[in-house]
This record gives sequence, C-alpha cells and structure tokens, in this order.
Amino acid sequence: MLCRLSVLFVLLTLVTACGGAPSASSTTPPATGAPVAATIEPTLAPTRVPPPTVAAPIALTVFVPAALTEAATQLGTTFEVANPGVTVAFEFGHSPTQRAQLEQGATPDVFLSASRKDMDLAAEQQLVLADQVQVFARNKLIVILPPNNPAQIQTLADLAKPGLRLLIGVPDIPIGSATLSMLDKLNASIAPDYKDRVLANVASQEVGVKPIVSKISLGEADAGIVYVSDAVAAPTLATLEIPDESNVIVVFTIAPVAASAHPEEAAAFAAFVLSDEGQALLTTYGFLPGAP
Amino acid sequence: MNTPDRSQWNPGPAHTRWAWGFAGVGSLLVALLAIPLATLIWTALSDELLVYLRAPSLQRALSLSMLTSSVSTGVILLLGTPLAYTLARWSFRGKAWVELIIDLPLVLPPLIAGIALLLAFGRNGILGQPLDALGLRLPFTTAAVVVAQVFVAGPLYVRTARIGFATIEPELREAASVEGANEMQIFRHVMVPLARRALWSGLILSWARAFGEFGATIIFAGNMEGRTQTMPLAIFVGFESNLGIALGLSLILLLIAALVLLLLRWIGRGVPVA
Repeated sequence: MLCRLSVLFVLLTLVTACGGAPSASSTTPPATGAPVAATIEPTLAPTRVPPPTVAAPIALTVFVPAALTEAATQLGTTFEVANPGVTVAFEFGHSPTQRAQLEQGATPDVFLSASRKDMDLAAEQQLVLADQVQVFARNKLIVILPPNNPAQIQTLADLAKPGLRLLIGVPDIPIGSATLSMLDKLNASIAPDYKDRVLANVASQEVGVKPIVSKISLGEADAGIVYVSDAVAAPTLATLEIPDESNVIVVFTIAPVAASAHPEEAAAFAAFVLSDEGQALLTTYGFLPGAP
Repeated sequence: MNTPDRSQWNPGPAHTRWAWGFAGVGSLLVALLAIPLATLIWTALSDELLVYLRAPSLQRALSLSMLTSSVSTGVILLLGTPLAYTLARWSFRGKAWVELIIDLPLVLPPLIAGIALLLAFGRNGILGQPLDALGLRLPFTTAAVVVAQVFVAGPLYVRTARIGFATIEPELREAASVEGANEMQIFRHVMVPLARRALWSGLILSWARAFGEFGATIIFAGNMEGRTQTMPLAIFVGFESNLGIALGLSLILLLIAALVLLLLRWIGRGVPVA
C-alpha cells in the first residue's frame, strides 16, 4: 500500500512538474479567477442570482516580452473584468527564448513578441496563426541616466566621451540590435568614429531591458539605452531623447498560438489588445500605438 | 491485518519484492536526471559541434572561466584555510554567527548574492564608495567575476576544510606540542598533511562551483565578451541567439563536472595526493 502510494506520489509530482514547468512562475491557478466574477456579481445583482456560468474558468496563458511587464498586467486585469470566467496569466521573458519554447512544444494561447524576426519565424513554422499576426504597439529608444547624472551627459555626442560606463542590451535580443542600428544612424550625423567610441564605453551587454534600468537606477553605470516605455516606468531617472530621424522604431506583434486550447478566447484577447481601449492603455505606459 | 506467524516468515521473496518496489520508485528519479542529460549530449554531438567549439566567443568564454575560477580558488585557499582552521581549532564568542554567515551563501540563491555584492561594492555602496575614491571600480570588471565566485564558492571549501581539520585526533596535535612544536609548526607539519584529502576535496568542489557560477556574476559583473562573460553566461546568451554554441559550452561544462566527480572519488579512495 505504502509502496503504491509513493509511486502515485512520484508520478503525480512528475506530471505536475512537466505540465507546470514552463508557466510555474506566473500562472494564476484557475480557482483565483472565479472570485473576480463572484465579488463583482453580488454588488450588481443584490438578489443573489446564481452565477451564469458554473463551468470552470478558462485560463489563458500569454507569452509577453519583459518590456511589457507593467502594461500587460494592466491589460490582463482589464480583460478579465470585461470577460468573467476567463483568467489571463502572463509569462514574461525574452522573445527569442519564448519562440524557442514554442518550438519545443510550449502551448500558451497568445504570443506577444518584441521582435518581428521571432514572430515571423513562429508564423513560418505555423506555431502561431500566421494570418492573424498584427502590430499592436511600437516603441523607440531613449538614453536613461542616473538621477544625479554623475557623468554630466548633456548630448548624444557625450556618450562617446572616453571613460564612460555604458549599458546596452546584448545584440542577440531586440533592444541590443535596435541600439546598434541607432548607433549606425548617429554615426552618420555625429562623427564617423562615433559608434566605435560609444561601443568602447560599453561596460556590459545586459541580457534584458529591466537589468539595464535597475543598474542605472542604482547609479552603477553612467548611461543606458532602453525603450521609451521603460523610461516612463522609471520616472526617477533622467533621460536624453533621441531624435526620430536617428531613432529606431521597434514593433511589437501579437498573434494567437495555433495549438491554443481556447482559440476563441485567445482571439478575443488579441482583439482587446488592438482595440481602442487596449491601445489607450498601452499609450499610458509609454508605448506608441500599433498603427502609425 | 492478521499478526504474521513468525515461524512461517520467509525473508527471501518478500525482501525481493520490497527491493523491486524501492528500486522501481527510485528509478523514476534516475530517469528524470538521466534522460534530459542524455538528450543534451545527443543533441550537442551534431556535425557542427567542431565548428561551434572553434568559435572565438566560445573560446574566450572558456579561457575567461578557467582564469577566473582558478584565481578565485586561489583566493579561497589563502583566506579560507586560516578561517577553517580557526573554526575547527578554537571556540570563541560569536562563533555561531560566523558559521551562519559562512553557511548562508550555500543555501542563498546566487542572484541574491549578486544584488548584495552590487549594493555593497556599487558606486554608492559601503565598500564601493571608499574604493571609488581610490579610483577603483569593481562592478562590470573581471575582478567582479572573481569576487562573485569567491562569495558563492568559498563556503564550500571552508566547510570541507573545517571538517577535515576537526576530525584529526587531538592526541596527534598534543603529541607534537609535547615534542616542542609551536602552533605554526603544528599547522604546517601535522594538521595540513593530515587534512589534505579534505582540503583537496574542498578546493575541487569550490573550483567547480566557481566555474559554474551564473546568477551572482550576471548581476554584479554584467555580461561582456572577453571581460566578464564566463561560460554559464555565454550559455545563457547563446540560448537566445546561437543554440549551437550554447550546446557546445554545455557539453564542455558537463564534461568538466564529470571529471570533477571522478577526481573527488579518486581522492576519496585514498589515492595519495600531494
């Protein structure tokens, strides 16, 4: 008996570990979705009408680039309120990693990508619904500085001052490659050796946007290059604008995942993100709307 | 359930049945550990493996890892041996606190170690400010990689060395003392030789831990090829861009881990060590 129980226990652990692993960190257990509906219902209908749907709530899992952490959480909450019985759990990460996870069989319901390349690859392999890929937000680059600006950086040309400590994204992730293209453009307008001198100041190629923001907030480096939305999320930091003609516009794309178990809800979530309400919400977090 | 009749108790088949039961459950864990590693090796052994192994970024990460983990093991040896000896040999007020501080990094997630180091050695940190005044800045340098490695790997050596010193029979020490040996002579000619197996095991363990260090390094030292990008960092970055390089590096790390275990077993068997 004991033996059988322990076998069962081990098997259960294995099964839950396998099923839950990719989303363990952020998946909302289905049960927590119900109270949202339940707590709102009684105030609207004091006569205690039984909840319309007794069926278990539908839990959507959404892959989101880390740059959208705050905005996506707000989008999810708003969507949940408008769609009782549906809960949205986000998994924040790097788009290339999440695309690789899709390839390896992860089945979220919606994929939001910070890089066009990863979305196109996913569409090519029919991991997402290729005909429903849409641009839902755009972002551009900005220079962030510690609040007291220790290196006295006043212009973009100052980024090439020798001895500076600069943080950029590793070129393999969208923020890093966008930074390099921006430097290419500035090279033309500032000085022919501008890019090389700026790159010589790079103290670290960080593996995400958030670590750059944190380390600049701590004052550990003199300047960092991130998205405008990240600067909006960290209002204590000083910023240096990059003119549009030298800036790089990054597009964020959304598509329902082909293997989603809840295609209707997945499409509804994508539609909500693209709706006027969703777009307005994204703007408050510093994103440019999807349609130029 | 009836009380079993002792005269009819037959150990043979029942034991075998239980043995199969235990082994059956246990094999699930073995499978969980073995299958992913075997898959990793199988995938890494592709035709392009040699190309990836020759990639400059891989080689820079490998040599930086070799350099930093060897330097940090040296630092750990120099600072950790006196500490382990003190803890094994004498008791003093506050010893329990010292032990707690040494053991903490063993159970602490290295990411937290990285944040703590960044706060302490950062520009506004308690240690960073005086260093900054001297023109020394630790974060984002190769030295920061070494400090992160010493932080997470040092305790492994101190623990092992301390047990090595503590298990030496006090009579041996006392005999040397009676013969007129001073404290330094006892340490050099009695304690260190007798504890050498433990010291070697501790050094190898902490070298391996330093070699695999990731969390504290990426936060405290950042990620810069040739300066702070050690093998684990290159694997992490490679997973997002060049899976082949990540797999090649993983294979090397796996090989080194296996070698370390072999070496430890070899020392444990009583093969003479220096």
